[in-house]
Amino acid sequence: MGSASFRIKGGLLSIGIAGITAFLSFLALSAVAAKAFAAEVIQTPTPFEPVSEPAHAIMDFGLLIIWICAAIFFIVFGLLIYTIIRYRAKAGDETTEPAQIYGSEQLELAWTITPVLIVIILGLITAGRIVALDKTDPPEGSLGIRVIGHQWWWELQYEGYDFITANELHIPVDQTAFLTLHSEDVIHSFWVPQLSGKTDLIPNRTNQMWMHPHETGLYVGQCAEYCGTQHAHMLLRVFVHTQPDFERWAAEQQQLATRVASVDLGRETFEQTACVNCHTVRGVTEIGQFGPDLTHLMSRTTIGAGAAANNRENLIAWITNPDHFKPGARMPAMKLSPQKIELVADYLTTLK
Amino acid sequence: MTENEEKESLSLPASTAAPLFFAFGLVLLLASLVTNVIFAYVGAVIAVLGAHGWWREMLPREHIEPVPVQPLSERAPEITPQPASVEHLVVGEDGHRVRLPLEYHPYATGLRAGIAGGIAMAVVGGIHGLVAAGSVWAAFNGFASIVMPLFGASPPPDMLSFHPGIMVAALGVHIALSLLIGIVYSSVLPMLPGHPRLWGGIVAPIVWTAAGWAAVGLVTPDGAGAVSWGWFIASQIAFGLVAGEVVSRSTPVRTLQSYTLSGRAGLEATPAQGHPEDHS
Amino acid sequence: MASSEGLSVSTVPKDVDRTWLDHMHEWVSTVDHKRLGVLYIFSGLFFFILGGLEATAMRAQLAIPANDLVEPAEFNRLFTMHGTTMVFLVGMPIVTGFGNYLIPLMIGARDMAFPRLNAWGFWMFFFGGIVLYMSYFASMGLYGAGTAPDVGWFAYSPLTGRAFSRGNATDYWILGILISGFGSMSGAINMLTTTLTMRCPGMTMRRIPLFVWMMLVVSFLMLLALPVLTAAQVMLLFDRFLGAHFFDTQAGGDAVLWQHFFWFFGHPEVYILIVPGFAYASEIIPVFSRKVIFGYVTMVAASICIGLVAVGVWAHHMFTVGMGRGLDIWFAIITMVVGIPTGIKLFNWIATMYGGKIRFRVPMLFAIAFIGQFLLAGLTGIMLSGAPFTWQLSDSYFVVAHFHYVLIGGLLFTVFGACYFWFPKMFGWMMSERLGLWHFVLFFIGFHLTFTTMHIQGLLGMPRRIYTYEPDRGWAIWNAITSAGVVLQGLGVAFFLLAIFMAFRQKKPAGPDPWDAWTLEWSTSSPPPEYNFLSLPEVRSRRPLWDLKHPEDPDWEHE
Repeated sequence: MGSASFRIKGGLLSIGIAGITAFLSFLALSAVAAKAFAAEVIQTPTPFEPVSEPAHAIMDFGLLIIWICAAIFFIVFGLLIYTIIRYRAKAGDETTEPAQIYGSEQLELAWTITPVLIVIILGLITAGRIVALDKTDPPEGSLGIRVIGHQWWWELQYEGYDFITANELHIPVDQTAFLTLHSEDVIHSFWVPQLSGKTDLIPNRTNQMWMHPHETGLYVGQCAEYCGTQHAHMLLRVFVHTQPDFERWAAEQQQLATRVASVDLGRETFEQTACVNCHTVRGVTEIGQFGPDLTHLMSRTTIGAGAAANNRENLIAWITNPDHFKPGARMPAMKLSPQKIELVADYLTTLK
Repeated sequence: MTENEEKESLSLPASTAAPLFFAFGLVLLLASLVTNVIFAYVGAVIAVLGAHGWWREMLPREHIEPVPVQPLSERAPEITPQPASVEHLVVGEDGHRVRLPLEYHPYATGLRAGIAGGIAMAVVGGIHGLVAAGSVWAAFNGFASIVMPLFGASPPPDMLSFHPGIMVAALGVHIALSLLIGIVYSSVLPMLPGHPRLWGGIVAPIVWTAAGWAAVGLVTPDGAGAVSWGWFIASQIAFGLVAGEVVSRSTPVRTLQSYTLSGRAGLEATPAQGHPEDHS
Repeated sequence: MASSEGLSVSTVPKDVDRTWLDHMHEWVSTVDHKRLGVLYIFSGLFFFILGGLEATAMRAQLAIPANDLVEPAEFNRLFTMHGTTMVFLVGMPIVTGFGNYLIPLMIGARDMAFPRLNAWGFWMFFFGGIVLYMSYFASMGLYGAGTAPDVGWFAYSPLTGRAFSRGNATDYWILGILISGFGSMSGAINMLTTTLTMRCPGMTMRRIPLFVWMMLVVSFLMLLALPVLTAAQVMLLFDRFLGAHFFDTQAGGDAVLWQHFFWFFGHPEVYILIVPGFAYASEIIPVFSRKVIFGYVTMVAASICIGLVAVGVWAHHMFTVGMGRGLDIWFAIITMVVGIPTGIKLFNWIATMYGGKIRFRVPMLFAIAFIGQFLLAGLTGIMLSGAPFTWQLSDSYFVVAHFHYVLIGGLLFTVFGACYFWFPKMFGWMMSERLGLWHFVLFFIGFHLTFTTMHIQGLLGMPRRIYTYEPDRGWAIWNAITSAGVVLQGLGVAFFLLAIFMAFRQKKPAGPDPWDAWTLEWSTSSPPPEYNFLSLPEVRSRRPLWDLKHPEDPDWEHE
């Protein structure tokens, strides 16, 4: 405890600084590593690469707040570092106590009111942004889509087009898509960071959100409110098309399911088992409401709300036991014989 | 601390497990919801026993037990004055410790500075509106368009005419900001080296105009063109100069520490408060 | 009675003759605030280990993408139990424990106002924790359908309804929290009453240590917030057992109502946990800077302001539920307002160190790290208060990073500091500086590896509470670093436990006042006798021991 000990502790500063340096270099290294990784990365859904309003406006606003906070951080943190270095106890300091200062009304006033001013300015800016970005009524000429959350997939109903699809949202570029959000069971949240902020889907409530993309492409997102066992596999894909591409896609989706004679056996198996209780194939069996609409199943790139790629092999694995890709999924394993499963899969692959 | 006459023991509340039993009983009672109704019966009995035991601890009179006093060898020694000396700031009087600063401007100065600056700013804004848009109200409506979202409302529809509701909202925010900045001026300007008029009138407005200019593109992407920066700076400097002038004309008052102890004693008159006599 | 009273002096034998059963009996039947404080703190540390292991399992699962180490349902249980444990069974008892131990000593009292209620409060908390953890065994063993609860620590309805949460797991969650909540409420009543009524002569409200002031604010917040949670839990019990429909959306109940109830408790709860962190820092920083706290009155005012504003900000957790622009604006701005008193505190701590002679002992290291980390935590809080930004960031790892910065970088660091600072007082032995240093350095680096990087995952769009993620999202490297940090934090905590163990083993005597401090608890022996003070002290200033140590320049001449 004596005089020697806090001289040793003076050296502690250097340990601390060494630790921070080590940490920073590690961060730098990992940033390099991340860059290296990034070469193969296809999709990072970051809000900082927006391709749409309001995501763009939100990023600008976020950057403004980040810069203000960064400035405050460096000022105060610099003050802290300066203080602990400048006023560390030195040899011989144990015999004297420093001057005792109770406070300074003037200083404390200054560092009370300056934050008040910052808060007022930030508050004005925030309020302005909220009012500008909050749209409760669909703008003129927008595309209306009803999004219904299920455990754990998305039902998408295109207003004015009269068809239903799932998990993969297709919208045209340079047009506002206006989503009305509902939930069938628990709370979910619709989040595609590059297009828009998130909005919750709440049972017994209707929420709205909008997006106005200005670049075509595929943008990924997922459910952002914990909704049960497979919350992690409630993924979203949004395809932004050119206007003609979108119209073509929509026209295809409006078609009824095609009947291919070669897979009649598979269709009959599908119709005679419990499949139809949950899944609708428009033009064939239109009873099921509980599971995703399968009319144009093969036009989608994934199954199980993004749990696996959509191909015959995965379909067989999925029908055999959904838990294989998505443990806990609401769809039961149908306990069909392997032959029947292949037949059903063959049938499903014709639903283009 | 004064040593009383030596006691052998002190009375303290006696140890008891009754609260433990009471808690345990309640927990079993609640746990019966998820286990078996038998837990409810057992829990109720234990809880009642515990509650009764607790009751008996308090009534008819509190159950206290004597605790033997530590032997002298285990007691903390009397605290003695330390050889370590205490440093003093040289600004203090008579080698005393100080409250800083020794003197400061009263709040009224800051408020006055804010009001005067706010008026000067509004005058410049009005002239700007008259010159640029032909209406005294243009500048005020412009400010109001920033303020209105605060109340969840949209900006004023017509920028040139007088809207009483909007004007009240804008004026309220303007007054609040002016008063607050005035107080900051009165507390910070005297700390800065050189002339307060220079800092408050020129440097500060230029700094925040620059910050505002950098930020406005981010805040309202379409708003940058709408601000005429020359007039904006003019109104800010008008505020700064007037407020700085008011502050530098004010006479600082001395803080309480300049008074004698008896003068300060009135702040908190408790029996233990310091000596009644002067300490000079 | 009278005869036994007379006997007890002589019949209580010295340590040597007593069996472990006697010791045990002494601890379970105690009503002494110091022993209860120690019980609170140590049971908090016990649950801290459990919660830490749960976190470690989660980070192991998330270290690489598409991992299948932990099952999805088990992962959901892990984060539910981790959150619930850390908030209700670690944060709350440690906070209450230090308050219990120190408040009477600091204000010169012999015990708490209600010693038996104090014991009851501790046991309610403790049994509450046991009930929660019983879910791992009982809810499957007895009635099937799942083990521990998997609804998340804020248990949003309707996920907690019978339709989505079968079996009894959620009921164990409700009961555990309900029961320990009663303990916390009684603790708050006790601390409040003690502070207001049992101060020693001369200890006016303007002279009580800042620690006591801040615990007063905390008690006030507990009394305000916890009953709301309790009520909500009872309503949920009604839903689950009696067929009520408060939150049952299938029958027209309201899912958002639960969110309002929960966060009306949940946000003040954050301040219930962090203001004690301020309290420890406000005691540690002056002592090791050798200076009186800068701006005592401002600090008190700022604490009260935080307490008042804290109850008006809850819906900033709900910016994405579609409350409408009016409420969004109000809660965004009022949340920013919290930054003002918090900023004042940070400035005042730095000003306290400014001009001092800072001694870098272990408690001070933790306190300094706390200032820097809490600054960052506060600033990310300001970022999140900007509602449009939160439309992107809420429920992302950015939020996870933010509140772990608050609760670990803020609270836990000061709790560690407080342990090193007051351990000598509680047990009479010093803790090893060297082990403490190892603890600090390892935990510090581990903390930043884990939680500083976690901000980045959030900014890259990773939502929280997912048990796995796609390899092609670009999150993998950051998650690997985050998980690596956990190892260092674990090592740090191991050194902490070792330091405690070695302190009991080496028995290096501390003496009554090892840090040359100034508040009343350092004037009595270490550990303090059961009665704290032989004769009640009489104080004339905020630092009574300074007055005695420096009679030539006492505080009371200046306050």
